[in-house]
Amino acid sequence: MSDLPRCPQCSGVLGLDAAATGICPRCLLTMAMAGEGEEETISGEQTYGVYHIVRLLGEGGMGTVYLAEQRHPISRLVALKVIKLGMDTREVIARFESERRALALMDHPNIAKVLDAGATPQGRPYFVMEYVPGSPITEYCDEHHMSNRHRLELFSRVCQAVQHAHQKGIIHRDLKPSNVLVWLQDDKPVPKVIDFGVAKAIDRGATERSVFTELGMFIGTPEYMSPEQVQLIGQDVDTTTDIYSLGVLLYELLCGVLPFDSRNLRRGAYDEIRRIIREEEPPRPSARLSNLGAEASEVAQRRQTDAAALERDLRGDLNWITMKAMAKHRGRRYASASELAADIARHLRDEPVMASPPSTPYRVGKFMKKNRGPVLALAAVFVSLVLGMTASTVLYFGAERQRLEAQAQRIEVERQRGAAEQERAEARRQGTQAERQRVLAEQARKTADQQRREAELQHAEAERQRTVAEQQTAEARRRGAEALQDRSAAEQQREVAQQQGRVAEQASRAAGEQRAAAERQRLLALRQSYAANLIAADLHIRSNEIAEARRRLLLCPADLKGWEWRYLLWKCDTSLATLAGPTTAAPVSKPALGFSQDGTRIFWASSDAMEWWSASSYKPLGGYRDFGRVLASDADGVRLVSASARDGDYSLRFFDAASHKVLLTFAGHKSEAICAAFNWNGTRVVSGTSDGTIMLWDTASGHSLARLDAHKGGVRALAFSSDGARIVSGGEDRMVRIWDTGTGRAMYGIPGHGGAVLSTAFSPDRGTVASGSADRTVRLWDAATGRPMHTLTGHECGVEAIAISPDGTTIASASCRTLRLWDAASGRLTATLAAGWRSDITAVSFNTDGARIAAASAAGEVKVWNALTYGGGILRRAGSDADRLAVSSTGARIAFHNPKTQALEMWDPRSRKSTWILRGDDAQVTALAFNPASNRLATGSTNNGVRIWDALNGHPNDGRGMLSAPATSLAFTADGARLVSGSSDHALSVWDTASMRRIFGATLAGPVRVAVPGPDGRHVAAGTGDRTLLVWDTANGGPPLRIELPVGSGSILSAAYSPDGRRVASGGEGSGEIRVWDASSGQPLAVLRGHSAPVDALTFSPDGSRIVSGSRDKTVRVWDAATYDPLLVMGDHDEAVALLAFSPDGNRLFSTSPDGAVRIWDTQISADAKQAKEAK
Amino acid sequence: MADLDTVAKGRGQFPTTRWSVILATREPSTAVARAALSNLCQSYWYPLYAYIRRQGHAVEDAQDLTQGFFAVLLEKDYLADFDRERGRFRSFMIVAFRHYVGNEHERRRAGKRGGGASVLSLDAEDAERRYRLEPAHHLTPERIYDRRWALVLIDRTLERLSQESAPSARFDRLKMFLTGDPAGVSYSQLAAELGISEGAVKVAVHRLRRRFRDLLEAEISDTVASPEQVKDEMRFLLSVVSA
Repeated sequence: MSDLPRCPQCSGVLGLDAAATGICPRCLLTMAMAGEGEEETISGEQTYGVYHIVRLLGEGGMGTVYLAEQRHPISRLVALKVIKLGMDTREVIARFESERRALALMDHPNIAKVLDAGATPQGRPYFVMEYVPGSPITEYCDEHHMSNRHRLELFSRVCQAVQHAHQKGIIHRDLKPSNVLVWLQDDKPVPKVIDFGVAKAIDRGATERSVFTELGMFIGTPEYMSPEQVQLIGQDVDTTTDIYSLGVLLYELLCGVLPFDSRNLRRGAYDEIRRIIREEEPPRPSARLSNLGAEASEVAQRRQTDAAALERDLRGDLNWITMKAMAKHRGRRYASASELAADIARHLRDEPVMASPPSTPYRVGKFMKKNRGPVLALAAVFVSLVLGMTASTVLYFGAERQRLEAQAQRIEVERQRGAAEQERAEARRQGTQAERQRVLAEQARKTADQQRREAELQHAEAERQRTVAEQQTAEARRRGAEALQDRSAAEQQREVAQQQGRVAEQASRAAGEQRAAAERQRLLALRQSYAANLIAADLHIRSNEIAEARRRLLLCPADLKGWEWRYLLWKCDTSLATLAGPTTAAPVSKPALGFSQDGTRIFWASSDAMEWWSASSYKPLGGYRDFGRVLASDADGVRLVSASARDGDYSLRFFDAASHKVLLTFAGHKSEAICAAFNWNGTRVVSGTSDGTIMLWDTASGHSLARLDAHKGGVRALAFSSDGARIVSGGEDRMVRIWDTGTGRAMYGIPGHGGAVLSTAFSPDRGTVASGSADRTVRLWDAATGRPMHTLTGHECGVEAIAISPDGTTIASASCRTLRLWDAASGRLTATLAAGWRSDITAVSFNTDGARIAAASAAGEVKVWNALTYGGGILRRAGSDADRLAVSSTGARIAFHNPKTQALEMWDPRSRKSTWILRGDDAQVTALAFNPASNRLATGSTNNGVRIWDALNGHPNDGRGMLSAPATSLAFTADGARLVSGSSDHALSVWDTASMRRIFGATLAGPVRVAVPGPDGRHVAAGTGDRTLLVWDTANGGPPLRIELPVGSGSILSAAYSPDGRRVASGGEGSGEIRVWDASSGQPLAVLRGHSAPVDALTFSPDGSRIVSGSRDKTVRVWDAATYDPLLVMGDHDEAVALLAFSPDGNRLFSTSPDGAVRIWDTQISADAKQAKEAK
Repeated sequence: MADLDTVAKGRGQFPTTRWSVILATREPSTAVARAALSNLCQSYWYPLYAYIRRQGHAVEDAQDLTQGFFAVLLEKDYLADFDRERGRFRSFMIVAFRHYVGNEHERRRAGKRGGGASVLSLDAEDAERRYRLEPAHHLTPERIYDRRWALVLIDRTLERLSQESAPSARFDRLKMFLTGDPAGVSYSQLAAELGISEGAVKVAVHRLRRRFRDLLEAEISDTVASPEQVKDEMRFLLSVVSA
């Protein structure tokens, strides 16, 4: 199903009218009901005790808040909140009283005091609170573009206020921005938490806590509710529930949006809300921010930063703090509001927060950030230490080497006494050097000492770190203890879970049932959609919106389609074939359309082209172009007359179509020729112009034979009579004129049309003239006298084209996109041929044997119908009644009793003639039935005889059954082997049709009105027209099964067996109800309601999937035989329905009416088969 | 002729509503009762039309039947069979209509045509157009009748509310708040738009809601027999539009 418009508040579906006004009727009524008991408090002085109302502050889910002035004992402004829930006031006040003392002890600058409580004169509770002229904290922070740091500071103070209340034992339960108001005091923003104690007082108790009222409207604010609050089965709410709400508030302050989107939360039913809050992990603030996309920069702007920086800021501490406060499990949240405030403070001081996971990079990172200076110094010390050590090592080795060298030198001195002074000086020098070395080494040692001292400092620092680490460990240990707590809680949970497991089992069983129910619903919805599409398609077809109708039909689910679907589809286009004409750029005004004389080809000629098709295969045979504006063609399409395209040239060209040669030119007109016609053998052409002139031409010589001032205004239609002796013209002056071709003189004019006459035709016997006009009627006139005979109304536009069938019995008229067939004798509508035309129909033509009719539209399409049966419509014999009627199973024969001639006639609708007529005693039939299996007809007559006849030739079979009274009803079994008769002397008989022996008999309580055999031939159901139906098993011969309608129902008038023999349907008088019964037990199975008048005709479709009923309410209804859903109402029967029958292939439905007409309802398949057969 | 459209202000006072007047009258043909009944019918004929169409009647038939029903309603004493103590106009209409349709078929079968000129002006084309817009789901004719009844009632109340409120432009903006505080528009926004203070907006909304409630109750009262039935009827209507 596509998205239906829904009300954003209650998620109910909005109807079309509600969608237009935008007001949801549900919400409107709910509001009206909820507001019961409100007083008009604004106008005039209203007093609640000592409180005088000043004005309205706002209206919320729980009540209305007013600004009031307290006069006694002190004068001050207060906020007065009147609760509007339907609660027992005493209960509310009592609960409030119990908290009152605790509330009175609360004294915190950031908590708005609740001062008083009472009841209105009407008995509704109200609370009096300190008046806080502030904005909700979120709004305030946004308006003042407060940075996150400032927000956090503000928030900390809120936490401390909440902590204060918790210490006094008061839980708020409803913390949200509108309950935390901020206002400027001495240029500093001050937050105040309001409504402490109110939520508890009006709380109905944990077991009844609900987010909705009974009417389904929200009263709480689910966005801020903790998981345990949302839970229905009572868990106690403790202080941590406020922590959760604070967490949500913090979330909103930091990243500008709620963790769970309001819309998503409120869209579902209560269970969905509960699930989301209890189970879904909200995204972290930083993630949420980055997912906002463009909005993120707006959010950041309100915090005096940019989106990227804000995200960075949120990552880490702020994420963790918020998520910890919002932990699903309350044991994992901050244990108190002051802990939350403390962690925020730590974050603001760049210290590690409790909420973070203990990872080393975090520790080091934090440490580095905090102690930036000392860390750098430490690095420097390391470097110099290393360098110093290298220096002293190098120096040490240097000194060793020197000593060895000095020893070598002394040995040299002994050898060289002479150079002793030099040697001593040398030694002294070296000694000095060694001294210098020693000094350097001393310095090195001093440096090393210094470094050692510094290392000691480091050690102290490391000690401090260890202390912090120890704190961490303590924290971890505490968490471990918590985990232990959790474990024992988990043990409890397991028990609960076991219980829940049992509940879950029930639930899954219920779910299984629900699934089955959902499946049933799905099927039901499918069926309903099918039925709805059928109805819509039917309506569209009636309004001639074929494309729409097709679309609807194609939407139907495939496995639900039945006869009624095929029928509607067929109704969309009942033509045999559509021939695509050449696409002409210029719209074709009046194409010449016709069948060749031998009926093998169809031609069509228009502004500049001519096309031929095969009339059997409908394949195109070729065409020609460039004729100028074709006005008419001869009967065979061999010669054409066209007008010139040149301005000022009013002559006509006489063409040979095949060779394209202009044979003659008809010159003489003084204005533009609009229409023309050939006579039957092509020897004469008549043309009419826009100035009202008609000229008659000889096609052999090209001379004009006559010139007539025919009409005032243009000549719009011309036609010859079939022998060419007469011409009929129609003009814009609304006149129809008849001319004598021989003398060229006018015979008479026929007024009467209300608009221009657009089309004319002569009947083949020259007796009738038909004219179609812009006044939307077709009129039939006596051709000899001009007397009006019939006026055919019903068209919606001007009648552009008419044609009369070669046998003169049918008039075809085309107007807009509708093609209608009328019975020429009675003027009654026979059929409307439906098709999805692309544009208006402009030409109609029968073929020479009248079996086909073709029509062409201005867009160049040509469609062909079977003119005799056109697949459907009404068959009437000209001007006679029938009081008994039977239709053969294929509809090829109709047998009827003609009361006027007292004869039994067999009528062939195709040739419209009776193939045989019987007179005599046996012909005075009182009942008639066709044998479905063979061409046999059964009759019951006034001479009490029952006879079988060969339907083809009217020869009687041997054997005549004799009753003691005339038969009133006859019916064959499906195989034709048995015949059931009911007679007026209450006798029910079953005959073997081969021998006409009576093999079963029974006597009923009254004249037999209904008698139907079961499909197995063994069972018979019969009724006397009262409330009962008796079912016999003829093989057993026991008493019959009695099926009885409830008292007060009317009589049973019709019955039908399902093809499998398992069910019997009965139709009757009582409010047109049809009942279905089990045929063996008589148990009632269903009642089909819909008809508003007695049901005289009833049948199942041959495949057993449909029940079709006909009633005196002039409708035929199709029902689903399995689900008993109504599927289609065929309301265009326009007479009471006497009989209904299907053709054996289940494609055609026949109905008869008391006036003797037979109606045929065809389907697509049947028409296709016909076309295929004829194409061969 | 008394003006029966008076709406009672304040609670606890049940006015002489149109339906209660009709019920109280013994003679259905008194001028007052006829006027009242005619008045009610003029308001509530469309649900009957939808009912009869959903039953399967063709368009012309449905129009005929609806028109014909009202023609005879004021003549025949259908009220005679009706439970005057507990009956509501809504039930009365459908029951009487069913009777009529049944009788009419009998009459037609016997060849007679319905009698009486129509005393109501029913816009037939409009009716069919509205009917075509009915959602094509599985509502039974009775259900469609009830639902339509409820929607007609609400429409009429809104209409009266709109007529009362002036200027109409302001009403158009305020009426969005009738059902609650809509998302996307705040009081301050609307106050800025209308050029009045936010407090004045709140007051106006509050008043509008109150007035709607009053008018709705009055409208319902016009169709029930006693004050106790008003609440019940309202609950019924809510259940019907919620389906």
